[in-house]
Amino acid sequence: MDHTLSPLKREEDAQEERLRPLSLSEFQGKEEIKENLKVFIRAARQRGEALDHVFLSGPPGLGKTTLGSIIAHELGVELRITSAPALEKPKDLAGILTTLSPRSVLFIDEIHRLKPAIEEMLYVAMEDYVIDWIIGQGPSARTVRIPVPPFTLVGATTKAGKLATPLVSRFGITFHFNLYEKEDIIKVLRRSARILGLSVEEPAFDLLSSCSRGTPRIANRMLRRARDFAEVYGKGVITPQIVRLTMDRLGIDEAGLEAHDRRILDTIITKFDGGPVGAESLAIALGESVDTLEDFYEPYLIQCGFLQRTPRGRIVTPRGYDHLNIPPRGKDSDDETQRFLF
Amino acid sequence: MLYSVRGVYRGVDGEKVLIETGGLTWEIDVPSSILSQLPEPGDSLLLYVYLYHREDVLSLIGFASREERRLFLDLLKVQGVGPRQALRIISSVPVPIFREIIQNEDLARLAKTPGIGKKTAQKLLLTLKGSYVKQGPGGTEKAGPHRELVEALAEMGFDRSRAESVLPDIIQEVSGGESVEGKEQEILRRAIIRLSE
Repeated sequence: MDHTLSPLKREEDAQEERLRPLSLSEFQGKEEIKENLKVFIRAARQRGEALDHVFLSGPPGLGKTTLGSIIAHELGVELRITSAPALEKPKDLAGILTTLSPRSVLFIDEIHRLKPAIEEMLYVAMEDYVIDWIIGQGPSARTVRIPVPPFTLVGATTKAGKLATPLVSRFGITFHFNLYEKEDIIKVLRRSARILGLSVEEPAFDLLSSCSRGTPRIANRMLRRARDFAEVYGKGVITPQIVRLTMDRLGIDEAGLEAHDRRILDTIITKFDGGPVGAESLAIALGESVDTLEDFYEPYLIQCGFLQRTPRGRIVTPRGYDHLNIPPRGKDSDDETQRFLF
Repeated sequence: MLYSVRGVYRGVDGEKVLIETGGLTWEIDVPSSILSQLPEPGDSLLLYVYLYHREDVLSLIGFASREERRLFLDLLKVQGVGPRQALRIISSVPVPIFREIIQNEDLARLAKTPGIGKKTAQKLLLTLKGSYVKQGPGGTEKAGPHRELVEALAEMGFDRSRAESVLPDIIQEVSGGESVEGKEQEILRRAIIRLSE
């Protein structure tokens, strides 16, 4: 996926590290999460205990990893970052758990992808700070409980629904991330512009935020693209004109849709008569995998109100027709059919 | 019929060892593990031998020790194992280790030995189980828990041979006063840390 608006992390986003806030006060938006987290962290620090396990769910690019590192930073403890697919065998998790320093934060990304054996090991570790392992066979088999230091697990996922209930129930603190409001995205953009030393005209922020899909990672990426155009075509200042040019050149419209998003709507309208169409047929027609379609393209289209997921399949809403400037298949066309029949 | 041959070592011919006794030179099949322990040609050499004969085959098979010879005879008892395969097994597994494997009924390890498939391994265990009765408590007790720990670590996904090499040191370190259970925990914990480095 090489779309500018993909919320997935890309190599150039490594520059993000510079933009990644280190403390809660620098983290923009999500006030209610921050306020609560502040209390939990302070209490844990005062008691000298490990913070309760934290579960973060929500779409990619909203700052789950960032929040994980902030938690470690605010607690003043070590941070270990890994992701579920990297934990292939029990030894991988066992190796991490036994070598943690006390009260440190273990961040596991994509935690819904843990293998069952590793998930079970994690349950026990989260609850009792031990690793249970069976040694010996037959009558001499016995469970050895290997102690591990107390730690805070921060589990992040884009698919909260795919997580096993026993695992979810072991998290003491749960936060769900929603897409950012426009004002919060503007705050993020302002902060990034300040750190990157960019001069941005006020209305340009507004425009940038409207095509960022409520996702800080995309907002920062758009900001960097606008900077490129500003440096080549302008005088280095990001003006609304420059942002428009950027959007134009990247094929992004004011709703934040990319050419590919519009193609999805267009395909449903032209090939499937506006729907309903099953996810699989749609995915084949688009040459995408169902997962990509469901996880990365549809959510935003649905949030914008352009697309609907129904039990019978995907339907383009009247707003969706409107956005593409295609007259909805409403009464008129029905009349047409009627006339044709009689 | 023949138990041993002592004579002047005259070198090797292919995989066969040549020993000269009183003007006659014997051509003896050996497990390849012996080939590295042979003396200089002209020196005296003693091999424990077995005269193998079957329809059109008559050959002399030699071993470095009585135990090897005995193991060979035991292996021949196993249905489906011939002299060639028995020699291969003896070449790749030293007798004490083979005995330990059989005693512990370590099917997984047995099946990993060159020349033994899973089926043969099962047959071997079944046939030989009785013939290696556990020796005095001293020897086996040491091997027991050690092997279990190696198994446990291998189960976690660690490399078996690395686990084997790391464990003795850790067991030494931990051999403090604590209870057996506490010790096992600590040994495993340290082993995991060391193997994860």
